[in-house]
Amino acid sequence: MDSELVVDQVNDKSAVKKEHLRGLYKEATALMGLFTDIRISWVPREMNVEADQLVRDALGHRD
Amino acid sequence: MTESRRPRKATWRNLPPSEMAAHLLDTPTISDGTWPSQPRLPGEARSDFVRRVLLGETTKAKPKTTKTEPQNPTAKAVELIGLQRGYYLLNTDGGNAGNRLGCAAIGAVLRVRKRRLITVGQVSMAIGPATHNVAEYRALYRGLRARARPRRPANPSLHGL
Repeated sequence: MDSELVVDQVNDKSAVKKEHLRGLYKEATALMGLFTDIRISWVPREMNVEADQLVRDALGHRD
Repeated sequence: MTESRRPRKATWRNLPPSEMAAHLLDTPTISDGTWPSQPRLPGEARSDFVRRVLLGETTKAKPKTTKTEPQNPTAKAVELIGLQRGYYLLNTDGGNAGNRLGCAAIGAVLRVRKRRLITVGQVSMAIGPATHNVAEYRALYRGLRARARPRRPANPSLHGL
């Protein structure tokens, strides 16, 4: 994924300060716990174009 | 003896002994360390390499231009994170329409690395008002959920409670 904040938080490299993200953080890390071998890495947006495009599609952007 | 036999190719082997010795002394051998140690040019055939380096001939055969296909972004990502075969690759993204709590959406692509990357599934979904970070989290959650398998409960009798 291309969000440094989320990648650092789920990898416990930075604390989840925002209260509204805490529940989401717990959900995500609980799911991660179900995998035996999992790595969440940050990739630059250029390498995340497909996912980025899917977001744009859902937002109704035409580009 | 007939003379129809083709004359043997002139090599040092059929030189008269005196010339053979001179030839061998003049000719560098591998053990002399005088052989040009040059790498083969990219795309150069072995025979061309031998002619060029060992015989000093220049060949017209230009080295093939190494194909530098524009690597697709996902292939780069696979390289970057060192994804091994048999592993899944999940790309997720989340964003909103611009204003802080505008309509947000998530996107996720799940692929598995076999001989090549095979897309297993994808999600493109509006999630209503949310911040950018919330959308990122939701995208991650949605993507992970696709492959998460609940662990077998420790006590089967509790299953379903």
